[in-house]
Amino acid sequence: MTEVIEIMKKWKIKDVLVFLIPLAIGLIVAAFIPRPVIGVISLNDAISSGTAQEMINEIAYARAHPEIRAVVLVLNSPGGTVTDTEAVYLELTRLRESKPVVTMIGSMAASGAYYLTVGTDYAFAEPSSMVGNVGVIGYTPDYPVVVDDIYSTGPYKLWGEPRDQFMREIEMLKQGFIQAVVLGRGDALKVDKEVILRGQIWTGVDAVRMGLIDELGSQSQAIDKAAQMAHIAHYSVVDLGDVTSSFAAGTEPDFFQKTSDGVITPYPARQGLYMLYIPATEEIQ
Amino acid sequence: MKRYQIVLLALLLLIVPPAARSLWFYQGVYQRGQAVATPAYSNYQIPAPPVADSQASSPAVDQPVVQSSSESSVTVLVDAGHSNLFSLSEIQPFTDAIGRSGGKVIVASSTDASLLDYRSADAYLVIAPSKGFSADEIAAVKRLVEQGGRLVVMADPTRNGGTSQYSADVGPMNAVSVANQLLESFGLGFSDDYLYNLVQNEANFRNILLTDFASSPVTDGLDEVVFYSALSLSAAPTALVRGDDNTLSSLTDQGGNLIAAGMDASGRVIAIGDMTFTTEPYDQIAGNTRLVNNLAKFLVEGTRERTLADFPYVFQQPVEFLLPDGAEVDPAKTSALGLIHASLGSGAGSLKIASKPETGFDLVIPATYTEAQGKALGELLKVYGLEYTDGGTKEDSDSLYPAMSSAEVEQMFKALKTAQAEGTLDTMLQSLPAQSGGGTAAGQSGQTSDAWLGTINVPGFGNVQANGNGLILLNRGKERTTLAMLASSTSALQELADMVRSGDMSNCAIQEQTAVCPLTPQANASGSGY
Repeated sequence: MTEVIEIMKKWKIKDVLVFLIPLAIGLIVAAFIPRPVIGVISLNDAISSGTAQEMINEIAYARAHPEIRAVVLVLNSPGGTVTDTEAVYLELTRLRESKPVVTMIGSMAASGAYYLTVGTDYAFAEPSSMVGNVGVIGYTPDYPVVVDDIYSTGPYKLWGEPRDQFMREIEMLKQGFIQAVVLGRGDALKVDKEVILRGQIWTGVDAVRMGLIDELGSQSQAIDKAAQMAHIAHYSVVDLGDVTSSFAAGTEPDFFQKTSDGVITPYPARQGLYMLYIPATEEIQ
Repeated sequence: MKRYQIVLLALLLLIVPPAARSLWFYQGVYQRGQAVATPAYSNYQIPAPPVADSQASSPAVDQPVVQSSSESSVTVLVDAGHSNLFSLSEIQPFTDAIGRSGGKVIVASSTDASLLDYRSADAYLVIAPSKGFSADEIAAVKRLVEQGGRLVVMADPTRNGGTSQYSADVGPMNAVSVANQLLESFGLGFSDDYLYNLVQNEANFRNILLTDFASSPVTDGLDEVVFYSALSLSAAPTALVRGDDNTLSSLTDQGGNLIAAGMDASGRVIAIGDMTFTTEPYDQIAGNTRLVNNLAKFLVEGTRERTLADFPYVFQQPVEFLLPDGAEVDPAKTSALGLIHASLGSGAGSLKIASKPETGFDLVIPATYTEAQGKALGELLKVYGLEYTDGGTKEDSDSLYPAMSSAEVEQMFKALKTAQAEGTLDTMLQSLPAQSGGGTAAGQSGQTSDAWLGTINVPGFGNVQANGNGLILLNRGKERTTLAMLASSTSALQELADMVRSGDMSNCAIQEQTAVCPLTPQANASGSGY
């Protein structure tokens, strides 16, 4: 000890700076190394043009920010339109190329929301979560007729497409859905495609048994799993909805039909193609 | 301290803080093992329907549609009186096929009229009924089938009750249960389910491909048909069309031997769990056209053997009335002729009278018992096996009219026809005082008709007193169907004809082809009874 003190007594300022400067630089550099972040993207509504755009903005933010090392997708949704679902799904697959994405299913990930689930790397659900309802649904277009007050340049300009074509289209879209399930779940899937295509909804417990999801757990477990997959520790969790400057349009106000007294029904208001869980009620039966 | 030691230490001080912070946060580098796979969307194609069986559709389609009622002898009654959940225009491919096969399509649009309609029908087509059948209707349909007529009942899971775009008057009942009311007595029944196939289908799980057919004229030449939403049959003596092992019932999610179309034991009743295959454009898919044509043939190929209870729908040919030379013709008899003719309905055409039977015509013989025993008619009526026991005659107190010339008869017929067309026939008939029981003075006009008061032995009935009884006798010969209407006098004959025209023969004792109908007896009759 006395020897070290003797050496230090011999140091001049110049000699001290030789060590202090690198240390300071090291500390400064270290300060620029960001704390890793796990971004949380939440969907608590139907997948409509508004909610889909919001999610796409958040996905883009996650992809653009390197400190976001993983994303947890929290789903409480009955699904939505086919187009919006596919749009989010494709953005998720791009994000997964650089960052792991883990799904946490809350009360429900049905139809289009399950489509998003299979577009992530790992999926949790609660034991009683509603999972599945794989398939496409929609209102058949009307039979084309000529309307006296409307002139168009073709028979389907007004009606969109023939009814038969509609039926065949949803079958084609179904192929895309089931292929996404097969690709997304891979070897984890323990049931035949025909079983999944029945459109049934399963509980989280059954969904794990069938390989539709990976594990039962909570949102914190999903975050831990995301961190584990991203090989990070001492991370922070950020709700990407809070940090993005998305316009947060939310669900279109007229996405679902409303009764005359303003009660929202589970039926979409517009004709179209949906990956949506529509609980059968007396009106449908 | 050596220089290199100083440099080394400085470097350490430079590296350690960022390294430590990095290790604190980052314990590895995320590397994706495999590229993220997405569905090959661009490779997906809209599933195409099976190619139509051109051999099945072409020959029949090329044939003209026979719509003229006069050219078609087989009447196919289409039920529209039970809040049926379809429109006639939807099944035009089917009704056209019936026309091409020689059938005449008649729509029974009201339940009230249908009991009469059943008598006219050779075949009955029922699609998705949602209002129940009455016991009388069910009995009438059963009778139709027992007599050789055909019955086709179609149900469809998409037409199973509830609100309907087809009718504002939607029955309260589930269409399957209504259809089963009709089918129960034939050993057939629908399940309240739908069939689906997730493994192999026509563009949708509920559009099932069917390739398992029993040998039958209805399934003749079929390789594959497609039912666009179909119910299964819960009971069928003969399974005409079955689903494969992957065709499942929505009730159980189980498959195997599920029946989509079946036939009863007699081979005259078919139940089909789908009606969409008879509509455009689905009738053009796979072998559906052939199935539609086969079903149309099935409907028109039945031969219904009618009895007197089916009057007036007992004739197959145009009808002529036989009045042999020298026959007594007074207004009462003329009125009787007019009434009988009116009872034949609008399809009977204009009234035709002949003195001898002619080829190509069915025959109506209105006669008194006296005439029936005469030479002119005796031979023709021999076939009925009647035996007469004379009981004398009595002046017909009801008949007031003199014999008429043929010109007067023709004029009377014209007046009756006009009254019938104008809907004033009843008023006109009431104005004729010759109705039995009229109580008018005898002999007022000079010549009168004598009432025969003997006894007639009628096969199956025994001895029938002529006075107060009329006979209606039906015989189906090779050349013609002959209907004889006999009574003791022309006024009694008129009463009998009026009873027939009213359609209410409930007071008559009807046994297959013979009916004994009570009439107003002659006052102070002296004939023997039975």
